[in-house]
Amino acid sequence: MSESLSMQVFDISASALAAERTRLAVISQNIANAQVTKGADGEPYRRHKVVFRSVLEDEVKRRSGQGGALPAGAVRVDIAKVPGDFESVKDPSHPHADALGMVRMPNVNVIDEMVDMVDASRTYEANLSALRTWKQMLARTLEMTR
Amino acid sequence: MSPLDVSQVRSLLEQAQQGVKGQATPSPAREFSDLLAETSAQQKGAEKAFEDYALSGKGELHDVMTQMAKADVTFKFLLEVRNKLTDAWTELSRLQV
Repeated sequence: MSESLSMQVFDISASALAAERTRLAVISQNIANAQVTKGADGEPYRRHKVVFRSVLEDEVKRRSGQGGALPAGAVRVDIAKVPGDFESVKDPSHPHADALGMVRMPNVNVIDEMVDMVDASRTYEANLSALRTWKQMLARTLEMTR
Repeated sequence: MSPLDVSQVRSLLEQAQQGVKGQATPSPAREFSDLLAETSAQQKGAEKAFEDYALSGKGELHDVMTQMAKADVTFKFLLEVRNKLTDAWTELSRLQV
């Protein structure tokens, strides 16, 4: 059963909520790992970032019939690693310090993460507002015949 | 959680309309029956999402809430249609013969 457009609005907002949830999870991960100087690959932790992309019409058509497809206009997120140099800090007592006493720190700036967090929180609220407003509009429409 | 199962009403309706006519003809009863099916599906979807989340810890909170919002809207629409139909019936029954 294909859903009516008025119901797809709920799915579009829900996809944005899911995207912001993922974004906040990535921010939490960045903050939690901000001091990790040696990961599984021996490198310092590399900052992750979410990349938003919208679900396009043709993608929806290609996936139609498989079930669970998002409506056109919904968003998806990909998680990417942020390239860039690691900052070196002098800390000779650190177990991961090199011969010169320098330790390479992750390319995470906690202040940037906090700003992103505020943005994620506000965007989540905005999408919740869109959803709530649409529900109220539908409720008003139902009162039309009274 | 034991919601009202609207599909029971639907089967009664289908029996009633099959007694009157064939199946394929579009009628208010058929339309209403389809709407009942849709409402029932939405409610079952919301119930399943709720149970998956609350009991099995599967799914996402916002998905449960949007499913419930959808079921709410569909059910309110069903109520409005029912009110309209019963109003029409009351209006007809008041006709002078």
